[in-house]
Amino acid sequence: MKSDEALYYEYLDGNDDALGQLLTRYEESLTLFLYSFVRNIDDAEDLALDAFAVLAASDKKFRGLSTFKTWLFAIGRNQARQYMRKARRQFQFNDNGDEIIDGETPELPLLQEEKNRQLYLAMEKLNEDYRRVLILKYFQDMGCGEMAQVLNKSEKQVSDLLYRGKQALKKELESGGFEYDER
Amino acid sequence: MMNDKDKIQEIKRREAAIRAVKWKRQLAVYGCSSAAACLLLIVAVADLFNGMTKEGVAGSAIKTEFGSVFAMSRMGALVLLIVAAFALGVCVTMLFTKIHDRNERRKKL
Repeated sequence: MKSDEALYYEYLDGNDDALGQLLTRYEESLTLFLYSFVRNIDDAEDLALDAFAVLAASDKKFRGLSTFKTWLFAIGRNQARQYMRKARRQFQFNDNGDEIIDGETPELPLLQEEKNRQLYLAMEKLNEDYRRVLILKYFQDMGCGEMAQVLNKSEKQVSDLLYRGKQALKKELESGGFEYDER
Repeated sequence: MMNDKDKIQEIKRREAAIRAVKWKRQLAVYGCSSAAACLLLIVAVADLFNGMTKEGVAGSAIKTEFGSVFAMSRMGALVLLIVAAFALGVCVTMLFTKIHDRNERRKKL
């Protein structure tokens, strides 16, 4: 299987199929991550395409200082921030998660599995910083270093957020009658 | 719901839009800097000639009352210089544009 970096350079050399493969690998998870910012699945999907367009227009700026995935997600985060600044909308949800309709999740194949869906629903009720860190941890399998690069925070901050996020998630899952399995 | 092919087309369309914006910005920077450089060059050359003609050629009978446009009317001369610098800047920018377009064509080939 070709690496992400190889596919990226192939696309820059004019191979559209390479972009298709990158889309297959990351579009869904990036959309889920961006959804945690904008709280609207259509906007999140649109921003994910924007992130790919920025990536494609960046002319071999990828220097291998981070993994391709980290770079893509960091671009996505910047796009989401820009979008939110432009729209001047308040996407923050209150701590009780009142705006979340019980049982509603974005219609992404990644969340079709019952276990993932329940995990995501529990995350939805958490503070947005915890939620972003936990999405990257559980749906992207990123380490603290990678998460720090994506979220533009220090590793210490990310590791604190992760610890507190896991505690909050555990509490949330247990209150819903589920068992928290420390992975 | 877009399929993968549509998504790739959409990404390419957005990519082209981003590149166009980048190029416009680059062009503005090129335009301003080349106009500034040309203005500087013209002022420097004009000033040099102004000094030479005022002094005249040593030991000769050549004397000039108005050796430079600066000596006739300072404001008029400045306006002339700005217009000339702008025109020169435009020429340099057009040259950059042509070079850029040629490079893009070569890349596509």
